Amino acid sequence: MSLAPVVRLDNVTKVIGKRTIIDRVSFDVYPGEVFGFLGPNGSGKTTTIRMMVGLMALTSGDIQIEGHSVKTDFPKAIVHVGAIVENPEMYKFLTGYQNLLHYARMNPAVTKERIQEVIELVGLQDRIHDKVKKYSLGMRQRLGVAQAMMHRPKLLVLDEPTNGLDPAGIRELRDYLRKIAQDESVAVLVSSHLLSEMELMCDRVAILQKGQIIDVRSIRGDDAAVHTQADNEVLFEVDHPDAALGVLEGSYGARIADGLLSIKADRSSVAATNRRLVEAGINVYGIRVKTKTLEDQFLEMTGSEHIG
Amino acid sequence: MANFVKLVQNENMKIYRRVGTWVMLGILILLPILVSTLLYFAGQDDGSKVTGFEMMQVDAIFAFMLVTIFSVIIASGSVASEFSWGTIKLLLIRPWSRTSILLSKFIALVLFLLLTSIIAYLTCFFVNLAFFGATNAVDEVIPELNAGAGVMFRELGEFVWTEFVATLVIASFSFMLSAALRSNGLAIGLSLAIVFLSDAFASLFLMIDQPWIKFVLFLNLDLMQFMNGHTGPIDDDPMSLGFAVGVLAAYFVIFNAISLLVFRKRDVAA
Repeated sequence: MSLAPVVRLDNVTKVIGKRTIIDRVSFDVYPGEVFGFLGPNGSGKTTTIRMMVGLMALTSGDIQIEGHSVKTDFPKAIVHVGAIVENPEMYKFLTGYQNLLHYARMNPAVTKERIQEVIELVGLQDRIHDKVKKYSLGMRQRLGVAQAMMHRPKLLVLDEPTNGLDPAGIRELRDYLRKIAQDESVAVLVSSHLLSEMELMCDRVAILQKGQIIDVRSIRGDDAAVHTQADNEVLFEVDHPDAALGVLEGSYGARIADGLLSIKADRSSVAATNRRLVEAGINVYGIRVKTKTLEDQFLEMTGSEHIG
Repeated sequence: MANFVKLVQNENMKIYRRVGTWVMLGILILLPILVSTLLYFAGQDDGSKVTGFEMMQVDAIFAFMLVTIFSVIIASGSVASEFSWGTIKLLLIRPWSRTSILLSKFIALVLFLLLTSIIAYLTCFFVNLAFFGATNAVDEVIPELNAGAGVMFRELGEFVWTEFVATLVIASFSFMLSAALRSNGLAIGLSLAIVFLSDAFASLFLMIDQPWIKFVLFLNLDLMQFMNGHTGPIDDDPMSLGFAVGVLAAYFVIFNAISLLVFRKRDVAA
């Protein structure tokens, strides 16, 4: 990541009354990456995003988008941003097209041709002249994406984008976000409390808890490393778990878990264990590595009682 | 930066693409027609014929009450509705300062007030001209009123611009409440209370024997009481038209300064 970050948060702090809602949050998002912003409800995700897009003022610290501070140079910073903050609320008494026209008029870069282009991009061409009040939630979500993408932003901010979407819609959105990140070098910042979803969508995630960043980590490219770790839990599905346990004589921390034989071992030990079991006349039906999901890691870090 | 005119265009779209607005404009045209039709066929109780200019004045009072109510409705919804619809979140994340966005909303409001005032003015004038002709009872105070339609148009215009100025101040008050409270209903309610209780408040303040009461909004809202040599509601403290307009201008500035201050500072949460 030698490129300059699209957005840089520098010790962003928000104090409301006497409560510190956001406490010295710093991170960068680079072109072409999907960055996940993860945390339990009430951890400050939405507040941070609202500060990024100028809906809330910063108490201290700074946010720079393409080098322009949102505090001192707001129009120049925000011109690079497309966003959906929570649900994409539209003017229901206007048509989809009029809604897009409304936002297009506010940005010099958007032409009539570009409006048509994004309408086709999100597949709304058949319904674009209908009033938004007749739209389904999925269609509103697409219209939301269209208004966010219209001016070719360098940073796309989506707050809880999958709320209310069906599985097909979530998948569609996920594929689309990955595509524009790769093809158009857009930096995408997505917030969610749905961990499994973020795992599929993001390159990196920042984990926020009680207004503080407790971890920033890469998600992709780690799988190989996970599989060779010595302390991975490996599950064997066998016909006689108790007999199998006897065969292993307690090596690799063997134990029975949910009717499966569980050991802690690296790759070569897995193969060796399998051979020993088979040679002892035990039928092995399946072997799988129990990888830690992001969710497990997240719960480990934040403590399960904090999940809202 | 793009053209500021487009922002006003957006605000206009949000006003005139709604059915409610057209209902308001329809009522505004229909009411003077209905009142005049009624009086045309029913006549007055003493049997004398109503005259064109009298009816223009009667209709104008009704019509401008509507102009005030409708402007208050538009002003109260202007900022508050964006919050209740949730669209404020998408409106403010554009390359424009909050000052520009608020100003575009205010300009659209003034344009609406201007449009409704002109509609009311023209409707009251032409409807009654058609029904009753350029007739006026002999008036000892303003005898030249019998001089025909042109003079009537000018005389009616005097009432129209004083109402326009007063409504502008009231609409600014609603606009301020809309920006400050973010509640459409509360802004409409409080503003209309001011409108309808204005006379009651005025007489209340008139009972107070203090020099500062001449700066009270309610004693300056009705500019007709300073016209044609009249010196206002306070008997022993004459005020001029210029003074009253000055007081209204001060309220106008204060209301809009508060709107701007609140709108610029406000965090958009929830």
